Amino acid sequence: MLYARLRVVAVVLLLGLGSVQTVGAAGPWSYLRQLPAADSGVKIKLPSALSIDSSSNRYYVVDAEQGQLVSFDAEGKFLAAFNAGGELKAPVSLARTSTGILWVVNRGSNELLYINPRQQQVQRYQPTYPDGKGMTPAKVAVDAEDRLFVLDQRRGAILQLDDRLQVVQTYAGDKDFRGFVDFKLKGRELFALDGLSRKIYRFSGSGALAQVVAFEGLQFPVALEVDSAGQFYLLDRHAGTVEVFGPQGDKRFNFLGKGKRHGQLWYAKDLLFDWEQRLCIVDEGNSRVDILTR
Amino acid sequence: MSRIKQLLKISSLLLCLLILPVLSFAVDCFECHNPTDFKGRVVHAPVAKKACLSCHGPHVSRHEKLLLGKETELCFTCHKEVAKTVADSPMLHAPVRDGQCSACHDPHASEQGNLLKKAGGALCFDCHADAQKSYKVSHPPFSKGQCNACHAPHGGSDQRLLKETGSALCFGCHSSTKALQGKHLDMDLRQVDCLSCHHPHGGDSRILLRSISHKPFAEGKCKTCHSSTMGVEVCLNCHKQVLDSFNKVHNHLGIAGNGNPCVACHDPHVGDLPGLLPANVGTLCRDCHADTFERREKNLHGHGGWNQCSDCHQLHGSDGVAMLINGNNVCAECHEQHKGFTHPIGDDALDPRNGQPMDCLTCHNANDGSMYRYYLRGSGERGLCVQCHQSY
Repeated sequence: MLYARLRVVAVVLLLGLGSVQTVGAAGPWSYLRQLPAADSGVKIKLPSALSIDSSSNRYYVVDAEQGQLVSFDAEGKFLAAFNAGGELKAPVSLARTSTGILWVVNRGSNELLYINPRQQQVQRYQPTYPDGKGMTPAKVAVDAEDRLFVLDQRRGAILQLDDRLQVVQTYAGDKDFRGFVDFKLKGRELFALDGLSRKIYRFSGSGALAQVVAFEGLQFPVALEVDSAGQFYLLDRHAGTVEVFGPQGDKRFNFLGKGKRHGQLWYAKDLLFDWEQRLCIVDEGNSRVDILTR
Repeated sequence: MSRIKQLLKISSLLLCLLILPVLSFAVDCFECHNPTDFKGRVVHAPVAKKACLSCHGPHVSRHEKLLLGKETELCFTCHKEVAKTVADSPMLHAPVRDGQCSACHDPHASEQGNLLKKAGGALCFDCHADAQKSYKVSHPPFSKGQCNACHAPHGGSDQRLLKETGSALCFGCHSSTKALQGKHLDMDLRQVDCLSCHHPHGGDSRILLRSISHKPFAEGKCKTCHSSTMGVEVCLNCHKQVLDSFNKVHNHLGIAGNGNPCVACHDPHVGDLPGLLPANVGTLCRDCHADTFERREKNLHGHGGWNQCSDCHQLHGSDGVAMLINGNNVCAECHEQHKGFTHPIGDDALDPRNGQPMDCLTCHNANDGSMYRYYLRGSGERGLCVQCHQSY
């Protein structure tokens, strides 16, 4: 009897059917739902990014392969799929302003798209540096004042652009800088991840470098989030884990693991806290967005 | 009198008890083990002293060959200087890492110095067969099989296990003369990496330049590239069309910070392969993907030629998850015949764990390897299959 119970436990552990296990200050993270729901009939082939609208509690998933933006309500119900009149070619990042304007990194054409859904208007831009050199935008974000920030892969820097898409502020690393792979705007601060150097940079609102936090023990970090306690959540793409570090880079805990079931990640790409501080993980390999709560 | 006899008897008994064990330890192992197997120009000190029990237990052991401990630990009890080198080396030679000192050294006797099993290059080429090439012009240490002139056999700072970094290695033998400096645009040669242009084993020319030259370099037009700006734009001036190959969901831009990402992989002067890449592409990839290489090295079964990453992966950009050539159909590039007898794959065979179409990589971990045959992701007898077939 005991053997049978042990065997059941072993099988459950083996198959990863248990809830997401971790112990943090606010309790363990547990699986809430996935986008799209498995039984919804909605297919996202290559989710590359996620954006949220905190005013209407909506999720927007970027599907790079099918060239569309797919929206879901707070309960994960599919709302709409939008392809901007066929303009989206391998989109990889999305930011939504408070007025509903969408900024999309259109990787297939190496452009920044300005999309006004209400007016069904799409404008295409290729921003440049003051010296006229081009960019390869990888990520885009807007802050609470709708100011636009772009991560440029060619120089690995994050750039704040004005309304004419001119560079007004550059955020770059110090020595051994290998290039930012992700960033998050939190209040007036900007947090940026240099994945290859295993460093997080914290910049003040004025653009001054306020802190560099080095961390160890990760295989291939690709995305970061910062919670209200200042803890860093780092997505390790190769390990399939989320690693949590304190504000000074001290390792706190980790959760999830590599695999294809719930609670497992397969080449995940992005992290985002939603309006209720639920952790959303864009999982490319499993073609879904996992939402965790605690 | 009887008391004296009794004392003599007890004394004799005690003497026997004391002497017998000593006699038993002094038993000559060579009564059974052929002594000629333990002879050579160089004999390991414990063997010469017939102190077999320094390393071996005479009766039982948890370790092979009745060794007193794990091979490396046992060797390091005496060879402390090697132990320190190993401890201080970021990258270890695979046999050292795996605790197999006896892969290179004969623990008893040898005709070679340091008890090596074979002389110089012959020993190294047993494993590194791909490095055994003939060149029109060979670097003398290479042609003489003196691998350890440049390579540290136990551990080094990178996977090449070089004894020194940068030009310091070369200037161990070569002199940094004014004339040499003059041939290198008067650069401070202490700051250059000679091996980026010169092949340390051999080449077609006397100066061992790598075989494929960048056109401006071959024509001596240095200023074509060496201008005020050295960023990616320098390369795009001539190779602008290449930029489109990076307009993919995943790409290899953004790996050099403010520097030029092109030269992170391509040597701007010369290379071994078209595209000015080194012959061993994996050494480049390892700079950023060290974790992948570490996982591979720990696994028992791996895909053949896995160090040639570009056989399966796009190097500039890809719309696939792992930058695979032809997406997840990459395997068919070589394994066309497997289509005839494979487990169902494709849109008609969805993985129940995530609803995605199955492909070769669902079951085979070609990237990391695994502990199972054919680098399966679990035991082919059961462990792999029950991931999906839970009632199996």
